[in-house]
Amino acid sequence: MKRLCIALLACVAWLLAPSLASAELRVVTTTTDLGYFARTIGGDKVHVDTICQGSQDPHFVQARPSYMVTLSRADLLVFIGLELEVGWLPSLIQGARNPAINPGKPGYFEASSAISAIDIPKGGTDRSRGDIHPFGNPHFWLDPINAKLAAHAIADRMASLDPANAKLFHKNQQDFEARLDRKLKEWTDRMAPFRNTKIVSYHATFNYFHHRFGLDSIGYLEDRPGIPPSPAHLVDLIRQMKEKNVRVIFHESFYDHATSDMVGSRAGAKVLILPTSVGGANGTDTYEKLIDSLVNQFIAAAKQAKK
Amino acid sequence: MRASAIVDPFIRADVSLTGNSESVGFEEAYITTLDLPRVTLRAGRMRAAVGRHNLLHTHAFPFITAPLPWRALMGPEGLTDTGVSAEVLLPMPFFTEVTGQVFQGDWAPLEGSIPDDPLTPVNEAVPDKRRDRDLGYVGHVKTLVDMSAATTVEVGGSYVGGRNGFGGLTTLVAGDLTLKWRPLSAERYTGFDWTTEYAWVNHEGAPSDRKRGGGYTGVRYQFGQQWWVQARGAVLGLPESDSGRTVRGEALGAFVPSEFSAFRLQYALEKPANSSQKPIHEVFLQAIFSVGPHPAHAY
Repeated sequence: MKRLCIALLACVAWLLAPSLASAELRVVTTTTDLGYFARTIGGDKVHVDTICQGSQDPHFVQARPSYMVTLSRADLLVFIGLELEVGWLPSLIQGARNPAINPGKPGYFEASSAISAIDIPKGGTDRSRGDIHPFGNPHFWLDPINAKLAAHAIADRMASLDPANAKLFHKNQQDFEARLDRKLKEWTDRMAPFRNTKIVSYHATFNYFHHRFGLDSIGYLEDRPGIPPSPAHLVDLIRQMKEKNVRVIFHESFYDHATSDMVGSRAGAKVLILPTSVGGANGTDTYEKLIDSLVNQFIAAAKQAKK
Repeated sequence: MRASAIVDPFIRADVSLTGNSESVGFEEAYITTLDLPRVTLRAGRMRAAVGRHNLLHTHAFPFITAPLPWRALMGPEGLTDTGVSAEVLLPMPFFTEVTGQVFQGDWAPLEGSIPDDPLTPVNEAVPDKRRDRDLGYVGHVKTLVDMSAATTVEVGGSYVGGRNGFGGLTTLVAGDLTLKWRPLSAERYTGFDWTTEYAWVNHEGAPSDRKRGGGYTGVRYQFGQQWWVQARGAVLGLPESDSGRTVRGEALGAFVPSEFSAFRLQYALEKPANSSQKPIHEVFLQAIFSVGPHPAHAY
């Protein structure tokens, strides 16, 4: 009986262990961009793990059980939301068996709750229109103003979970915001001569970037999200690109670029194979460098097109 | 047909129906706890945690038919029953889960006769010496290690035990090994997985030899956003018993227009244990579709 009691006490202690194990706030983010915000805000007071790598398609991640292990130790889960991760994150949360990050708990934070979504579909949202996001376009982080809003909201959530470091989190977030404000002025000035430039994209990933810097997106290579483009749609798109003098294609680095290359060569447009997240290409290990990379590559292509 | 919904902050309910033109029944209907640390508890009618294949719903089978040894050793419906289950995630640096389950045990292997077992003597009478208190017990351990950013290896072991219709103990042990490869930068376009499972069962008290073993090994390769090819070989009678060995090979091609639909064509060749019987050739065509909210995929 004594042994049984000891064994039971050991089990209870082990079940309680995760909440007592670490004084450091453990944050898990789905994407590297959110991971960068959390690290920037938390400094050495938080431990941040990221599920997706920067070069990965965040719609389409394998729900590896090893991610469940990471999530099982988390105090805070930060994810994009707007159904970007709907195909894999629920399985991971369920498998993590960590009540702290269940929906409705303070440790469950949807970053898109801090921004106003664009591209909310009008009319019906059935799947004849492809794999659409009924609550709006989830790729909000490519607008630096949304990055500021998300970082602010993440700082608030981290502060509420770790009040002892709240001042530091808010100071770091304000410093980041000031850096982004300076960079945003630079990006806006550099992009100003190219406002209203017509472009096309493979998928709707860059819409917030286009929206922020006034680029005019006339269409997508994917006629329906998540479904490979049909030949008839591509023929029509190439015709429109020629008519409207579209000279730049935004292509996400994780999609096969054979189709974009073909469309680019027939329409006389340059295909920009672009990172969509921090770490998605060499030299994009910070958010500022990621947006620098998009701005630099677009401006180079747009200047070439004008010649 | 499947439905899943959160009941309240503490419980989720899952129901799946299966049937044919004449009848519809519950394949599974269970509740799952959501808010307990480290452990998931389930209660209701559910699939037993035996290896990998037995946990799959029909629509998620990698091939149109279940593996031959699984049909023969666990019954055509697999091991599904009413019971309770506890799945514990161990605090290890890599994923390790231990599952314990107790079922009513109304299973073909415990009842002593399996219609799909080509090695079972025909017309062998099976007494019903099982009592109401004779339950079925399942234990399962699974571990998964990331070998690289693209490759994982999963290893599992399972045990099933219970009193059978002959009055003796039926014991089933199974092991599984799976290798998965999916390059992170092209997860949508290419991938490979290789699964091998083996199970061995002994029915104590049966009038004829009922020690049986069988296994399969199958590979799947995705070579485009919408295309898969697959092959699987299976053996029932491994090690070979007095009643011989049945061998089956299967090949499958799949066109997957989107995450929500698939069309699959499968060819199978089966060489019966009795050499006087002719080999069996089978061709299957299957359409799978899902409607409703986007489901989260299991790994």
